[in-house]
Amino acid sequence: MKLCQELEPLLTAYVDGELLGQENKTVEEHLKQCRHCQKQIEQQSALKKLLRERYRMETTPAHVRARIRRWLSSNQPVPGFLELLGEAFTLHRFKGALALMTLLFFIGYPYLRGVVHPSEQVEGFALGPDQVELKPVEVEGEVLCVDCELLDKANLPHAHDADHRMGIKTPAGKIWNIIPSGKGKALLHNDQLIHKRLRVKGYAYPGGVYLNVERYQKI
Amino acid sequence: MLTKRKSRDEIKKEFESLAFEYMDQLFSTALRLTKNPLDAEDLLQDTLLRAYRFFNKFQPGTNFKAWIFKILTNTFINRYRKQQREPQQVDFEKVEFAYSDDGKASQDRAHQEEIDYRVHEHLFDDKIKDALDRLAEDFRIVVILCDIHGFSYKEIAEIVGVPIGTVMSRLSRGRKQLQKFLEEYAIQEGYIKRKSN
Ligand SMILES: [Zn+2]
Ligand SMILES: [Zn+2]
Repeated sequence: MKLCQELEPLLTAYVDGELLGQENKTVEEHLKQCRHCQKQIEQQSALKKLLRERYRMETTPAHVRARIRRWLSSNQPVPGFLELLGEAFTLHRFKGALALMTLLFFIGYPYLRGVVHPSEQVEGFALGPDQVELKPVEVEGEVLCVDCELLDKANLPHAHDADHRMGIKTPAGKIWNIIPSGKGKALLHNDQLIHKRLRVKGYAYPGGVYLNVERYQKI
Repeated sequence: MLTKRKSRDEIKKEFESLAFEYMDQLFSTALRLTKNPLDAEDLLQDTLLRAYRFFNKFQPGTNFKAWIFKILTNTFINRYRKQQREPQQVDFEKVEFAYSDDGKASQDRAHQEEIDYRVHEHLFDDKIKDALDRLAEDFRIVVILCDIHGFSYKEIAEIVGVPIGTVMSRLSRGRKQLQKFLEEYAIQEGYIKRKSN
């Protein structure tokens, strides 16, 4: 039985057709005289078959597909910094790509995500002549009415002739306006959220004053 | 040989067709990894965003599927795994070791041999997903890559970033766990009975 236990990983590889030469022989010799291991092989093969035949792929939700299509047709540029780094490598095979990916991952990860600190990382956009990059950001702060806040600060009277217009004020005092699209709409005129603290994920518009909200949650 | 540089539009078209070809596979995997539809959406989008950014460096004809699954797996491990708290993580090495030391192991084996493995065929497809979701993350990833997406050990080793031997032992233990979970469901639903009953 000790041998059987040692052979276990090899049995798995045998089922997957991943064994060659001597290892393959060892397993086959053992199988001739061990019912327990034969059973193991049968079980694993059955399990493999089950997963292959019965596991139904999930369908990507339509709104996600639509968003990806929209994003692909919006002509977003590759950030210059990554482009430069990329040029330093010639990627002729999978391995090279992986090496680059790994390297870029560590160097460029905070940059790619646009999240170094969940607040002010939005200065310095790379704007091409006909291209705009919407930078992914994560913002934490208090919900308040942007108009009320600004008019208060300026000591001006404020009589709203429309609804309050919500925005996010970060602990550092930066005020984000909310774009009235998608999730943003729900946030924009919701008086219930006033003075609540939120964590918001979305895209910063160039200049970093406007936020296109993808998701938000109370914190 | 001189090859013409592809235009941005050509690159985009190529990427789009590949991305949509593999999208459901990627989304399914994202869902199994994050166990949460919203996070799965994010993970899929992050993966495609990153893949697109590197796509002009990708050589056509090489293994796109392995390449993009590597991006998915990396993104998941580095981002979502940190956010998730999985208090039910168990060191399965120790569990199995403990098992094989008392008389229970042989009892289990006898029980296992008595069970007809074809009972699986009666299980609802959802139960297969439930059982997969219960696997420890390291095991879940390799089982999904091997048994659902048909990657070779060598590809899995590259995707996950571990030696082939590790892939082999994780698969071996992962399948064992999975088998056990599926048997539990089969018993719950009355397709098979325990010997002791
Ligand atoms: Zn044996
Ligand atoms: Zn107001």
